[in-house]
Amino acid sequence: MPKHALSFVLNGETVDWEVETNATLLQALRENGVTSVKRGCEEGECGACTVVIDELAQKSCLVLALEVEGKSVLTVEGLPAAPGKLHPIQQAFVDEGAVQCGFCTPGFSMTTYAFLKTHPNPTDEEIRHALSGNLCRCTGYLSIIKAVKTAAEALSKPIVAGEGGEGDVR
Amino acid sequence: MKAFDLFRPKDLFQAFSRLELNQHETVLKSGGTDLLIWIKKGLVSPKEVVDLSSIDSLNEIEVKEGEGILIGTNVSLNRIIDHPEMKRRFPALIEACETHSDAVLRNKATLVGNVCSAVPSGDTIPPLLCYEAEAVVQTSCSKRHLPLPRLIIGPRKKSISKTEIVTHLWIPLPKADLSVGAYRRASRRRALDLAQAAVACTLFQHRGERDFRLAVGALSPIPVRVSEGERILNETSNIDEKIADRVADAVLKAIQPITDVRGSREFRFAVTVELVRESLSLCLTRAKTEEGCY
Repeated sequence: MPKHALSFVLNGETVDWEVETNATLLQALRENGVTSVKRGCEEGECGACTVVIDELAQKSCLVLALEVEGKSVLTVEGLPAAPGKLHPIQQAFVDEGAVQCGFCTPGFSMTTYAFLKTHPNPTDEEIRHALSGNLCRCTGYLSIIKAVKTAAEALSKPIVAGEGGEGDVR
Repeated sequence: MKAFDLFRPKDLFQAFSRLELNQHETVLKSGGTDLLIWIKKGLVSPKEVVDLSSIDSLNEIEVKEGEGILIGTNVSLNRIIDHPEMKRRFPALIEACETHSDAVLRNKATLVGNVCSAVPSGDTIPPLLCYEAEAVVQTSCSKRHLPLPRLIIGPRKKSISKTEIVTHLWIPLPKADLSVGAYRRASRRRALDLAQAAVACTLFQHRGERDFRLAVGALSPIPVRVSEGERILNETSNIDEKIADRVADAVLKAIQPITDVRGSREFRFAVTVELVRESLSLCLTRAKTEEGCY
């Protein structure tokens, strides 16, 4: 099958790839080494492949790669963090024990990232609603919900001069 | 996923030209959240997918004051949910959109796509029937409005030809001081599940006149309005439990539920009675508490 040129911004940098017309964004990302994006159900049910496209969380198994032409795609590799540090969402997942096998964590992280941009002080109900498309078979969800709250608190703290710069994670 | 060619038109002209060239081997895509799964499962095997999501002019929600609201084919369910005018005018549709799939998929799934998939359990179809929505169907040289009951003619079947595109949905704005509604469905889990049974109930009130509308989904080959139930409600000034029971009986006579993986025919009959009572009662409560919201 002939390949087609695809140009888009991946984690802040423009990339030029060759993809087949029926390739999903999930396949294209993984084939090009972005393996944080997990292949779960491939039917939009599990959310393990969630990425952020132009500020919106999307399940990359139901996006054709060629649909992101000219768009901006963010995966956990591109979550902004100070050098040597995790992004506050990732740190909150670690601190609250919201990671067990870890397979669902990148998807949860990206859904959380897009969600907290529009809901900086979420209620438990809003968090449950926002995460309803991401499945976790290990944690039982309570620690994940707690992690999202912890991340929201961390992200709402004012930036201290000298700590920001490249590390401004908002 | 089986191989197919992908054509991403920049405008409708390009899309129509392509359809006229390859009509028997082409399927249309907007959000694609149903289509890609159907292709992966081998339920459809198109030679070419024409992806309407690349056409910017189909991204708009346009409010024509006193007339209606025009919704482009690429408008996602979350954009419908977040649109203040849609929320104010068509609350049962908003409730149905919020029930559809999950918060992430709703960034991709579109309202027009849900209608055009034409599945019996399509969440947005019963409220759209209540609101008398019409599909705007275009070809390269024509444009017509088709009421949804004439667009959807069977499970996954539409009446339009392969060279036609549903470019928009048109929802008329009736004269009303108040618009309230409710959408209630039974499903095994709240998110990411299809309805076992669903009921939409809407009420427009204008200078004391009430106009109830009632439609059901997942209970017959296509979602349907229940005119006998509406007649009972519109002829009664004091709606009590006895009236609600009569309405539920009218609904049961209008449906033909089947037994499938999601539920038995008997369960569907039983749960429908509860859904009718619940949606009607919600509608009446909201009419009392949300007066003047239209």
